[in-house]
Amino acid sequence: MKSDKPVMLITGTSRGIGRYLAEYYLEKGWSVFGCARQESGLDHENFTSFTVDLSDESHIDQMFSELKNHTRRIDAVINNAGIASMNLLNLTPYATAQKIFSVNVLGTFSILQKSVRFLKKSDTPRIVNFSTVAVPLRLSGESLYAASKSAVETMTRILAKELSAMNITCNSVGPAPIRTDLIKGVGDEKIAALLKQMAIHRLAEFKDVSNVIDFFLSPASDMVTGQIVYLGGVG
Amino acid sequence: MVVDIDRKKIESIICICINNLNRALVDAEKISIERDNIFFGEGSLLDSMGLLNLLIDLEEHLDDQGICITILDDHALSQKNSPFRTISTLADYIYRKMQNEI
Repeated sequence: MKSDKPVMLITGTSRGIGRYLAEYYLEKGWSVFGCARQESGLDHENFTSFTVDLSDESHIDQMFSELKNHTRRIDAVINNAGIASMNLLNLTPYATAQKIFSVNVLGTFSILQKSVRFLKKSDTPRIVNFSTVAVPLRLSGESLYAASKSAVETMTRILAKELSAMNITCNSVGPAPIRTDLIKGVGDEKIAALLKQMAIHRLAEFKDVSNVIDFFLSPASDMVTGQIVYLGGVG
Repeated sequence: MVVDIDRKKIESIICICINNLNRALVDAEKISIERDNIFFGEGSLLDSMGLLNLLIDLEEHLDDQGICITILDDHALSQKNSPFRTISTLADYIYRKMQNEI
């Protein structure tokens, strides 16, 4: 892998937005490291993937240990991986609640904790976390998923301050619903009701997400940190 | 893990990293490289962010010597007496970690 290319770590690259982002940034000339519970099947000379369960810290340790053999520098960390469970309070098993927080909050925390030493070596270090419009819309049935993303938002704002001494910016993008596996269990009626609450009444597309991330990653965005940008006009 | 550096060498690497850190500090904030001088803890000049920078730099330098350890881990953070107080205690901690005593 050529060292002059900008280097990115994306979590959750086996499918959905993560897979799209890996392909998108490879196309733009980045070296991309990806991770997911399953193999991505993505074959590209500048793509390296790791099989990682983000709810298991030892997996994350192992990934970073291997990552060191490939690169000492990371320019951007995209914490895309996340799981959702759309259930009302009393219909959500405790184990599901634990899993959501384990992946969405602690997984993000752990990835960031171990990324700092790599980001420090970049001239334009960037962190982009993933939130959701479910946070500002306070959607029924998404209490745990939205709460986990609220935690990610707070972490984003605080890490923006903590990491500013290292010139690392830390922001979040909050996508509107996109046709991915994450919302496959959500009925059309519910999606339609959700879209009604947004200023722009349509599902988001992958390119809407990469547009926001491009803005965060731009070298000119070095004054932009601690921000949460939602798609679709909510918040 | 095959350990091929001794405790004295670890201390000298810690001093290199403190000197690296000192380059970014004004004279009044510079950290002493006396081995038993408290550089982190109550009354010390080094704040948490400074300590983090120091330990990340230290891990990199040890890595360059073929010693791949994580210094800032749960064990270190949960110690009653922080291993990060002095050059001496930090060197001890790293050495024990390299010997798989921790």
